[in-house]
Amino acid sequence: MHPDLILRIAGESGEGVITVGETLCRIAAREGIHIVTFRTFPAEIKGGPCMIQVRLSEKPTPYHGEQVDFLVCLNQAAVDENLPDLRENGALLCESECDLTAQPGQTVYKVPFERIATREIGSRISKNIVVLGTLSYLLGLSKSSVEGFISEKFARKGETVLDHNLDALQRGRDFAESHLPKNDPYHFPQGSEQKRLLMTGNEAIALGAAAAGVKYFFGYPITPASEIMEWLAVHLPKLGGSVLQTEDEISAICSVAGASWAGGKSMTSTSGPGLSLMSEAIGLLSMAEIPAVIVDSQRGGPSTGLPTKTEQSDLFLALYGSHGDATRVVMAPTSVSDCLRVTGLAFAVAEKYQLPVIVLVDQATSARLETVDAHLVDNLPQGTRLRAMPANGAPYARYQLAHSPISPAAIPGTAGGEHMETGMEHDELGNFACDDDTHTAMTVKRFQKLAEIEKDSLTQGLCTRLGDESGEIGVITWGSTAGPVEEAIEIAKGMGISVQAIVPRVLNPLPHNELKAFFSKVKRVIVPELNFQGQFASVLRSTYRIPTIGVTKIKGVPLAPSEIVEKIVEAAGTTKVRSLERYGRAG
Amino acid sequence: MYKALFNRHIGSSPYSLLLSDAVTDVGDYGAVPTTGLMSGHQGCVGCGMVSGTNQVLRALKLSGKHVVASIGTGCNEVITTQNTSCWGDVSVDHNDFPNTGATLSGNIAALKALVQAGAVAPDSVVNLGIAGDGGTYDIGLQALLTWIARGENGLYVCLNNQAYMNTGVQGSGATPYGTNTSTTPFGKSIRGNQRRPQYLLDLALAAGASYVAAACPLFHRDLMIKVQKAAAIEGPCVVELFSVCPEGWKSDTDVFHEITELALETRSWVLYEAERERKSNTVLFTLNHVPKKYLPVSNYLRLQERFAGMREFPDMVEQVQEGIETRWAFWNPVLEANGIEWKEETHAS
Repeated sequence: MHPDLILRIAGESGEGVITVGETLCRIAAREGIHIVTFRTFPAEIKGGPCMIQVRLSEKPTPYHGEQVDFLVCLNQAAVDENLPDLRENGALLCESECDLTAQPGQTVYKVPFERIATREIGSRISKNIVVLGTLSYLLGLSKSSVEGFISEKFARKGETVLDHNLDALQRGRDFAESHLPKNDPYHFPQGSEQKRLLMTGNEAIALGAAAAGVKYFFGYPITPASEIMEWLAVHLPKLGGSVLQTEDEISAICSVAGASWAGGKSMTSTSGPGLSLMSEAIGLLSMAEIPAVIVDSQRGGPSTGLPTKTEQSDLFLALYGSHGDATRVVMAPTSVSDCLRVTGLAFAVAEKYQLPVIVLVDQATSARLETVDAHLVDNLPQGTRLRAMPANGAPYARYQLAHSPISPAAIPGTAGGEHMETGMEHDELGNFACDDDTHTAMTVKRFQKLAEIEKDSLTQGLCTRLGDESGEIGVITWGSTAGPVEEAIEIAKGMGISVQAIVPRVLNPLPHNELKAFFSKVKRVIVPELNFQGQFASVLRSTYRIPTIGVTKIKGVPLAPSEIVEKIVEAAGTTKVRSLERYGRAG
Repeated sequence: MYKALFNRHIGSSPYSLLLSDAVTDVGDYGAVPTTGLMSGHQGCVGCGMVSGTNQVLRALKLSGKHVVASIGTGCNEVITTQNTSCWGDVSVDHNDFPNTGATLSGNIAALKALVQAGAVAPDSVVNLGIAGDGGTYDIGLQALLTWIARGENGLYVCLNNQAYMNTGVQGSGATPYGTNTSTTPFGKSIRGNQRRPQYLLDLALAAGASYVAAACPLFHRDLMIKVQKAAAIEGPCVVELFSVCPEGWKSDTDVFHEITELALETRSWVLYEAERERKSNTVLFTLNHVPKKYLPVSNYLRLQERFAGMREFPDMVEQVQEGIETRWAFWNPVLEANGIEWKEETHAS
């Protein structure tokens, strides 16, 4: 029996393709199976090709898989598009009218789904449930677990709807039982006792924020980040917080500034176009020393770009956006469960150091379903704002240098704690001051925060180390590309190439000690990422003066492990030429 | 501010025939374009925005001018940019989300310069801006109002489907009270959208618009006359279109006609126009259509599942009804002049 199963379902948006995939995920999560998914969204409002790929596994897995074991196609276009990705000995389940040429080792099951749904059941929208019936039979999923789930799902819609769906499910199973002898080796993996939570990256971010105690959320709809606001709109009021949809992103970030200054943990979420609009206010948050969490779910850019496709091309914007010497922390989670943890950490750092923290995720992570350990919420890092206790009579200094870099913050409206929070350069009391000494002292104070954050226990041990620590080939990446990298290292190991990798979660300030130690051990540095310019590689080159080998991709989908392996093999062939030791390092 | 005057005559404004090449009989135009928006767009089945855009473009084509359009991000942009041939001979500039008004200004300035340089014939081009309600009521409001304040010659069309539909039905500044959207979910503690939309056309008049009009694609002749007038009138003009959205309104795709009629009969959408006379700074308001019967607003809420939650709460429905009556009272001078007893009939039905 295979320890994991890579399943892809493809068809037209609106046919219920995603529902089939998600239903299997929910059944699997209940059985304790680990899940990672990847789904594509059409750019159209309705219709257009879509697919969901589900990797079901007995062990935690970092990536949704490259070659598909079991492919389900609901129309000819889906077959044409997806058949090349099917494994040599893979299985294909498709609509019986589809025209195709399969490889000799591949198994093809043809089922007249359309006819069963329209003629036998009399409802075209039941087609996906027929598919679910056939598919669950072929994968050896017990009838009771699927029926049980469908019964729960449709119970609220009344008996007629439920019976209708159970009938469709049964017809799908019956057809498979009587017409389709099982010829492929693929089965639903074994589960475990441990039930798991199933959520998307966006839900994990929202849950992480709620667990961290967010009180105020301000946002503006934008694909692919809207679900964060939608989740919080439903749940945050129940937790005593509130959600306000503003008229644009400038208003959202400035509302965050207002609410956070007034004392509550506040956040916003957006995508690249929104972060561009927020850039000026990031400078304000930095200058006025206001904590804020800003989530950017990256999509293809620039401008409106590729609104429904994934990319990691906002790194420069997150690191450098806004004019002047503006401080900010940038973090990048690598998976759905990481989204939860990093969002919690972002609040801790923002509150403790009184500055904006940008969390960079991407569309693929935002939208992908993944199983998450339910206890993750219990162990979130905590950080609180240093509060001022204004002494009677003495003027309260909001930007006190004696406490540099963290000055105690008074809650506006408390007696003795009256002050001005300002975007102008200011002295300790908040008075406008543009003399050179004050500007220098205050800028140093603000940047001192980054130096302290790098050493803070909150940010220690946040680099994922992968592979063999003696490997001469080094891979460094960020965000969701960590998944394909982990798989690539395993493949390379099988080829006899020893590779080690490091994935920092905090991208500003970079964990210098860990990165310097890593660079001193490897002879080649490969930097895979999803953008054209090689943005992270560029940052590494300028910071550490090391040569890098870029692996970039802008096709709107994550990097495939094989694309990374290709570079690893190439680099392995040249390691004897020169070592990184020849290059000086700064930091 | 301006002084409001009321046209006692219900149906059309006195300047209509003078200012526009009125579409009185479609047959007059023979082989002249019968479509504005051509085939190839990707609008959903039952989309009101498609008919609206089609009629706007057709009216402008009938006036014989070349259309230069600036379109903001939104449903209309999403459905017309994958096959750009659907715009036919219209030149289109897709801009970012917040700045349809600002881009319109840029287009107008450039065309003025081109006319001065002799590169473009005078009066041969109409400058059109198109944006959705999100791009108009929310993120684009500043750009729209400052464009109006600059007093430039152009036409701005707001395709109002009352929420952000192409991103998954999030509430907007134009979303009606009590509506269930993904960011204004209808729950136990908060019952759907708690805000009421601002009055866009009032804002436009206050900013100095020369002409504003509310129209709907069901009354296509009325819509097209308004668009032609707006193109002919000197100064900034704003036309707002009622755009049925089965996807976001959770309605059937074949009740476009019924929903629009109910919107008009419950006076949830009022067809009117207002023209400014600059010397005396007066604005003449004309009511274009009075429904034969006034239905309670509950009828309008019936066909749309976005109102399913609110329908169960009579106090909320009552509040909506009160809002409609208050707004309708604005037309009292006209209704009285025409002997229309509006108060009694409302309560009788």
